[in-house]
Amino acid sequence: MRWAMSIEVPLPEGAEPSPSERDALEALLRAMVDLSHPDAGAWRATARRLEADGWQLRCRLGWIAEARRGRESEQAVGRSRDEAFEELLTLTELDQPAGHSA
Amino acid sequence: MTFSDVLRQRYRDELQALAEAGLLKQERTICSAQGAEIVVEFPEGAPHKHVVNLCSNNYLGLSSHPDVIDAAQQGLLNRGYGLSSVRFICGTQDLHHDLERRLTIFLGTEDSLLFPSCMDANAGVFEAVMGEADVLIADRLVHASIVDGMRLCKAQQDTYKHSDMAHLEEKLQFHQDKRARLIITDGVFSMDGDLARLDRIVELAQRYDAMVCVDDSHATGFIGRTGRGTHEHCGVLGRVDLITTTLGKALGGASGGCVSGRRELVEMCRQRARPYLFSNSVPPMIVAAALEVLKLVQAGTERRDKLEVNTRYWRRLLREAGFDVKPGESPIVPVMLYDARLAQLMARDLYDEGVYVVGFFFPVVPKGQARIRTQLSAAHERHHLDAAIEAFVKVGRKHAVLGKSRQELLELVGP
Repeated sequence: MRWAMSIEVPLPEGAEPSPSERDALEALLRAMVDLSHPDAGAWRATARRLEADGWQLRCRLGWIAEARRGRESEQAVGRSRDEAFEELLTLTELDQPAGHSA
Repeated sequence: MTFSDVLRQRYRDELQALAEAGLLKQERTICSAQGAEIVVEFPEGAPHKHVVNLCSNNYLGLSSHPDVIDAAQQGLLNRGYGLSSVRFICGTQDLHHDLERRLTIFLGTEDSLLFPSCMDANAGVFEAVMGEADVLIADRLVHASIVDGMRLCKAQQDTYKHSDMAHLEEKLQFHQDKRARLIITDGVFSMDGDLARLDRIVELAQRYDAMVCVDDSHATGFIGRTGRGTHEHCGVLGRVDLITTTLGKALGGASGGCVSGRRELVEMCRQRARPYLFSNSVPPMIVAAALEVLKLVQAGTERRDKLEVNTRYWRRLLREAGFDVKPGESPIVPVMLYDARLAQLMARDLYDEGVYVVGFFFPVVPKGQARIRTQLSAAHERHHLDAAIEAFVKVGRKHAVLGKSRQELLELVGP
């Protein structure tokens, strides 16, 4: 799908959104675009194909929490930020190197 | 994409970084059969050196036992070299079923299924028996293969602090809304050599309606009165739902592993565990040898008894010499040095003195917990251990570590 146009919304002078605020703003705007243009994009065709293969589909908005340390990285998804971070914590604790020996 | 110069340089840089961080693993070449004494060529091209081996998982000394070798040869002659097939196509021989039956009897379970390794058993078992409505709750120090298996499973994942039963109980209470709960632990934890509190874990599992899975790779064959494993030692034979274990340590040391436990759970593995479904069968000679190993293990407890005596003797020698030894009862005896460089230097000096040990440090163990892990074998005779302690004392004196506390050892090496 090609996007026909984009809208730029200038932020107030002096506004210094944090990275997480920028992420939230972008996610919010993308969600608004998706909801207000439900037929845009290729998702319906993809969904139909999956349903034809017997999948029951559900698509929800949520949070993605990420952790990076050198080469290590973890990513968790949650319905709330709490849930995403809780899952992220579990994933990082799951693979602490201590004790993983042959 | 080709393997371009840019890509080549990227991997070279990464390997260089590992080397600079002291994390590069180097193989030492063994030029003899596995045993209490081995011949090692290290570094490559150096003269061969006879050393006492204190770092193998050859707990029962069966890796090179003549009866085991003979059984392997018979297996090779009678059933061939390989099956050229996965189990469910044309890769199951009578020997595979025999071994699964024998493992079931030995472990005191309902059924067993062979895998190419215990790594594969752990990679496949959770996905086969647990779904997205379920939860896996693992001890935080379980083996890396369990972590991989958990990640491959759709069930929710959670952990509890190492051997902390109050924390496990908290997690079990929290997850009462899940369809099923599976507690996962090692039987013997391979770095510290401590045993899981399986009696308490089984009790909690009953109270909170959970199943229990134990990786008994560092226990099968020698822990417990008759060597059946941690469940025997803790008095919960028949009450552990799943056991994963290996043929690659005490039980001959070649390769192969299994999932053993409740009949329905094992059958689920037979139907759905991907490493079982998509890997070749365990080769006939290994299966035949493993059958002989089980016969030897079940014929008497002499080997596990000797291992216990060796372990007690070695622990006493180390303590009396003034080393800081992690307490415990398993044949994994860590000599604590706390500092990574010190552990490496001492391991190197011990090799020069004819003792083969390995220093472990972060990221294999937590920072500030560097150690030399020693492992006992029933193949060790008193003279091996006496020679080894002489070398330990000599090297310990050289590095002035004898009689030192953790704090003193850390002060010794400085920041």
